[in-house]
Amino acid sequence: MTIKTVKVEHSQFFGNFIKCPDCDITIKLLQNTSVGASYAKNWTVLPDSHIIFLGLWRKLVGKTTEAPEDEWITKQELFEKVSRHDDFKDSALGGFKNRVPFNGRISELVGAGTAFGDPLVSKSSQLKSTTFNTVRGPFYRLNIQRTDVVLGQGGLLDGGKL
Amino acid sequence: MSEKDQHWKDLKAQWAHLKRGSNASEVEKGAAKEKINEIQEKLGLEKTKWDQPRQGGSHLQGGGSDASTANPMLSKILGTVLEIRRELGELASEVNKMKAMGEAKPSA
Repeated sequence: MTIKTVKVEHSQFFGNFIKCPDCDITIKLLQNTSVGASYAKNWTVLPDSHIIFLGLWRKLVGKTTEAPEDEWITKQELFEKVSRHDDFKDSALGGFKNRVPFNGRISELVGAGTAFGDPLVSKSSQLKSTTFNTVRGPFYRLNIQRTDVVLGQGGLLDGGKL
Repeated sequence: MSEKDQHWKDLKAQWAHLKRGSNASEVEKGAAKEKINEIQEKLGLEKTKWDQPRQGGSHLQGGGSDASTANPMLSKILGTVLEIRRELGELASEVNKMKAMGEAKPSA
């Protein structure tokens, strides 16, 4: 078996499928590195654990509606931050409680309901430079406006279908 | 499960009564709206203003965006629909031309 690396153009995307530009085979896409978990794109409502986690993250971000650079955070930094919170231990956070599944759950939040609206969590692959060092991404940031709407609607992602 | 987790679950359940296709009666929907506001208050969320016209599918002020411009998927679908409409228009015009040519032909 030969393994090849190919670049897939946007025109080769068909919903949750991509067509390999090399061999023309159609493959189901599980995750797109820039748009999160593809299978979560058409979710109409968030699972309970995702709602509870978003509520916790929203609380950590606070009242700010600005988007300063330090709101961009790696998965590791985010995990450390939320796991220090008092609510973390007793909350029904499911896969968000352990470091490895945490990665997958965040990718789901990046993709969740994007067929109906803006992403709940934005992703950036750029570098972040501080006074002391440069940190390599990807970085994640809570989309406060969308999060507040979705949380207010009990996790409904397709708000127009009410 | 904490008390707060239960509130989130309840909020989700109450909104389900208002979803399109729900079997809830108008009375039940009214009760769900009241309950939603109660839970939103407990969770420190902005209360849904039911008497306000919905914007972008949301009752919340400033919460939604213009779906026709902000949603890239919707823009893509609209683009495809317009393209198909244009192609159909061209086909219809071709068919009309062929029809006209056929009618103009003298019968043997």
